[in-house]
Amino acid sequence: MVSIILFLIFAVITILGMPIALALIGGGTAAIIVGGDIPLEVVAQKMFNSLDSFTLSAIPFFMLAGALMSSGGIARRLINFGRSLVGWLPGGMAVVTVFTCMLFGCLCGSPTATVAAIGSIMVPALEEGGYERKFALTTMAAAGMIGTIIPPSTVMITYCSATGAPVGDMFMGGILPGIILTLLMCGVSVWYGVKMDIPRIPFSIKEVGHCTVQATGALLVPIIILGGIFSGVFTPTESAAVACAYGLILGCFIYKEIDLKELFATTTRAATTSGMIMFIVAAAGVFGLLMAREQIPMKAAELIMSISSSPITFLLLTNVMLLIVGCFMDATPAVLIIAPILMPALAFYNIDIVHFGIIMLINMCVGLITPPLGINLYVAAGLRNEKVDILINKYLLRFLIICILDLLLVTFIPGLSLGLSGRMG
Amino acid sequence: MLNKIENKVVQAESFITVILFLSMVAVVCWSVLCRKVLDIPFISGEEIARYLTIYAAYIGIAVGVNKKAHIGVEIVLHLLKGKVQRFTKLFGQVVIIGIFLLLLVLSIKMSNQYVDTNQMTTMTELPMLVVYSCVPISMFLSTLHSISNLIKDIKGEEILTEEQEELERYKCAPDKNEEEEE
Repeated sequence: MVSIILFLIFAVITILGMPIALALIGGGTAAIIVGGDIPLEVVAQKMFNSLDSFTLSAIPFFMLAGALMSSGGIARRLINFGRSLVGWLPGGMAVVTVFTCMLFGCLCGSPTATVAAIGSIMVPALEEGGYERKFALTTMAAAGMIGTIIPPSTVMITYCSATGAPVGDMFMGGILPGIILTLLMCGVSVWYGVKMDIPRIPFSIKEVGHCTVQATGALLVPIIILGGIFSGVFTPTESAAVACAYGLILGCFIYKEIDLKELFATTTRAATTSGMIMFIVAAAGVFGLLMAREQIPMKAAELIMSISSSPITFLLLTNVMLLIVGCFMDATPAVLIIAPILMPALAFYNIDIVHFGIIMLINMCVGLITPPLGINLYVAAGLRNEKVDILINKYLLRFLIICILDLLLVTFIPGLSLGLSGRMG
Repeated sequence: MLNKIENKVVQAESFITVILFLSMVAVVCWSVLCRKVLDIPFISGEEIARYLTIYAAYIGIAVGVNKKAHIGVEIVLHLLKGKVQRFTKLFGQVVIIGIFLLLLVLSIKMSNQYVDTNQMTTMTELPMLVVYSCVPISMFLSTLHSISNLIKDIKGEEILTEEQEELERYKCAPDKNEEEEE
């Protein structure tokens, strides 16, 4: 009864279009009232305690670092760097878009910010270079999702906070799948360039040197963040704070593109987005308390195990389910609700928590570009004041197929997500 | 009038979050510096950063309510048309106010437990009451913002959401960059 109320109220509030965080709290509170044996103040207590973790502090820091990077003229420098390095390929400008999105993903954890920051420069450039508008916008939307798989990623941190997976290993795990996805997307761009006979840009080693020097400040960020974490100098949270300080110095004093007013606006934006994520984390704490009390994860595990004892079947079924969920729900709440439910099953099937986390992450990323609710599609369409329909075309289908291919590779080859962190045993 | 007051409140909230964010960065960077370079112990750094983050997050929640930044699943809302859609939206706003009010009451009750106990935090020895107060403060502000959102919805005023704002910001960006390069 209590679990039915929990999910029913959650579903009703969600379907009515209210914030997910309030739906989680509404469901939890209603379930406590029906259950009758926990004092209601626990809701407020749990909301506070859920955020009381040093690991979670990384989320606002990465949000701020990302916001600083997207307003500090860093996007433009990275694009120039990408253009000099890979622009000579067939379909060069599209390859540059994908490549720069991967680089930008190392600095910024937000896919929509990536689409907006890179897209506002690249989409006009692509159209000028002779690419169709629908191809340009679709490539932008699809490439924007790479950043969520490439570390650092706030979704990874929420996954770790929900499941106890080590953040460093998750970050490592995202690198290879992210690079494979980038290469596959570059492949589509090259194919398009060859097919449409797009004029190519000549390669110049002098230009590479010049642009690399220009972009050095930005290219150091991933080295500081990832190098710092993997060498054990910083914890992930500390590395995020250091990245903020570095971004501030870079934007305010070296590139001189952030003034006091811009700093205020940027920080407020970061505060709002991290408030949004943290609210969901706090609310999911309340919801999770009730789920644990009702032993829903254990019951779910028993149910799943009765269907099949093969880990592969389990992973494939989970993929299908997560892809569907991803079409309708944002990554953060989906991870916070679903990951704890599936944890006991992972132990039974002997699936590594990091391997599963990366699979889940890619599933959720695909949701960024699936109609009807893929947020990247809307942001990309908005860049050119178009309706979202323009992005629903054969190119989007190709990008989706590529994502599924990447997903299957990661599902069947655990080494891709576990090899770098040495969790393969 | 109402808009003016609310704008002032939002400005104050934004100002506080900016201060909190910058001090968070400073505290964590300082503790890294202390540990790695200066070799002096600064063990309370982690605790200070944690509580600052919680405060920043909770004030951020209130700012988010004002900007309608809290994400929901809006597919059903988009499928509805005309009066039904309007009614559902208004009904949703009322439920939101209700939940925030409930959370306000519950969080005040929670914080009240710490009024007389004089319980302190472990490292920094701050009263627990101060730490826990962020929840009622945030819920109070969120309730205010959601009431004002309802009034705006009834009047039919449009609220620019966080994403729309982001897009508005970037739409003019290409021209600016092109000019700079010239």
